[in-house]
Amino acid sequence: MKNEIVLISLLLVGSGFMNEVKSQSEPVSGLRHRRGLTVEFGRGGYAITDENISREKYAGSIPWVGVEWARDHTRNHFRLGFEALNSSSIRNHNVTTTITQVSLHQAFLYPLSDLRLFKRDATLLLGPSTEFFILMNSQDIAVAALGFAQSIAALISVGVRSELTIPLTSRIQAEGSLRAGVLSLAARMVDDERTDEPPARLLTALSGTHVVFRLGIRYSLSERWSCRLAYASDITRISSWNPLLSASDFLNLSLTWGL
Amino acid sequence: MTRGARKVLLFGLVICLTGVAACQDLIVKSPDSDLIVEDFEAAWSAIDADYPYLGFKGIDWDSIYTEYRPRAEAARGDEFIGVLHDLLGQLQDGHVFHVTPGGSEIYPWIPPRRVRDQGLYNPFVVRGYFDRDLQRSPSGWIEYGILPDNIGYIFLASFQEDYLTEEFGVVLWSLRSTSALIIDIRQRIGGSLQNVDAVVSRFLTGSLTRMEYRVLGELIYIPPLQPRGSTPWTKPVVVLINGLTYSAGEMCAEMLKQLPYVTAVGDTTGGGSAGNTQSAPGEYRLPSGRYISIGTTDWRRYDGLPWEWNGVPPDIRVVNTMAAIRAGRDLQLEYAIDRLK
Repeated sequence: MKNEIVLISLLLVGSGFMNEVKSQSEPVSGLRHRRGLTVEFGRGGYAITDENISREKYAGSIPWVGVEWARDHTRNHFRLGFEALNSSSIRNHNVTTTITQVSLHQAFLYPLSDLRLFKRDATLLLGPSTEFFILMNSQDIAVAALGFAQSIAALISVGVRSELTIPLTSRIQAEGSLRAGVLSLAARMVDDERTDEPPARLLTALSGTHVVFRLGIRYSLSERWSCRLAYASDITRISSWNPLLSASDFLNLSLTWGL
Repeated sequence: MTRGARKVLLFGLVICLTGVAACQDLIVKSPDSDLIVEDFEAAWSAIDADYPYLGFKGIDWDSIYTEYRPRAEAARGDEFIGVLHDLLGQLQDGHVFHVTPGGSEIYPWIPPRRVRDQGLYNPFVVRGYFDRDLQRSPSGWIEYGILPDNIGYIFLASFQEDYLTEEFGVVLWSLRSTSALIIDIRQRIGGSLQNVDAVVSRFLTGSLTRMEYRVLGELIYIPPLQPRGSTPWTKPVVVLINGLTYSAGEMCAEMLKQLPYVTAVGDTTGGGSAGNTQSAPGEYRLPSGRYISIGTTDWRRYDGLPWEWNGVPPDIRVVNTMAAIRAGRDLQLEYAIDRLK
């Protein structure tokens, strides 16, 4: 396990900050509205079954906030982002739980060959990504005396990210993106008094992953400013240990200050 | 905008709206059936069969069934956790808890004296009475030192694991030149009989009869405790106790109190004698995967009463106050020092 931790750490650290410091030149193709700093807000539905707490499904409304830095290089595009979800009103009947999700991720995207979709020149980017993701679930019940029910899952992942852009008019473009962990060093709160399960494991996408999908429309407000309305989906699945499955759908609005 | 662009835009909006409405519910589903009534029956039956103090506490467990079964039947999903919490709380036992499948332990009841004395022992206040830093044993669970009037001081942080069997004799030997000793067990302490024996046996000049002990209702004979070490400690001893002293800590206090040169000073202990053993661990896995833990043992003081609820009273009652602690004074420790000077 120690070697695996070292390997993942090296991948995380080395996967690209070295590339990022390379000099910037003209951007690749028509992605001018993606470059720069983006802030994103949204609200949506969230559902989770975390069998560290119980087999029951908890669901409710949750806000989304995110920040992303996007920069273009000669051969690739860099993305560095942070996303957070937090709500204390995720509910199973009259029992609530507090959910906190935090993700810190980066990616290097490379343009694939020319693509035409809907009779338009589309841009498809694909590349490696890394992510630190943590999900905390703290049940708001039975705290009248001592102790409380909580569950934590963390993933340090290497994965893939892709982005698709289709210009529709001079001011509007359709955008889609998908980010998924492929190989993760996962940690989970375990009952160390009643089981001998290790709290950390190396998981493939089949047994543990965090996936984020977006589909939206971007509108150029000015030379530097653009906004986007998007549907976003966030799915976390860990089948190792006591299973955890969460899924959420958001309607997000983002504002980008372009370079 | 061209016709194609409008189609793409419309397609995107439809995806957004349908996704926001439904996707998470398609992926995350409720369990096909719940096990609420099964969990309730398992928990109630385990307590009915094995909990030692239903009679002593005057709890009519059958009437509890009548009251809680409808609550369990009416509960939906995790609402049952609240029912289970309240059911276990009826035992008013600080050893009783329920456990999530992920290992979070939730105690539905805290002994009132433990609540009362929370914050009335402060290690930093205690350290203010020493000229030199206290030493710590290799495990870090024992702090010890010498007070200005050549009085030895030992603080035991816990009776868990087996560190006392290894370290207590060594610590006591290092204080052999002192004229008297204070043993401080004013903490929330639980643990094993072996660790209690490791402490008490060092103060014995002859054998010490055991207290009455039952496991799952069966009287268990334990041979008298014999002295350990080449030279027993027979100089004056004060054992400091309060409401945070609990379970094995109370057993230690009760046994030490039987010795003529030991005085218990402080306040009545927390009151928990329904522990468990390896043969009767008292953990029950409910059908849903949740655990409950209840005591299966019944320890009795030398006067025949359980220290459950009753606690172990001090020989000399000295009450610490929050005002004194805030002022940097530990009244119980000060009394012990004055007595042993």
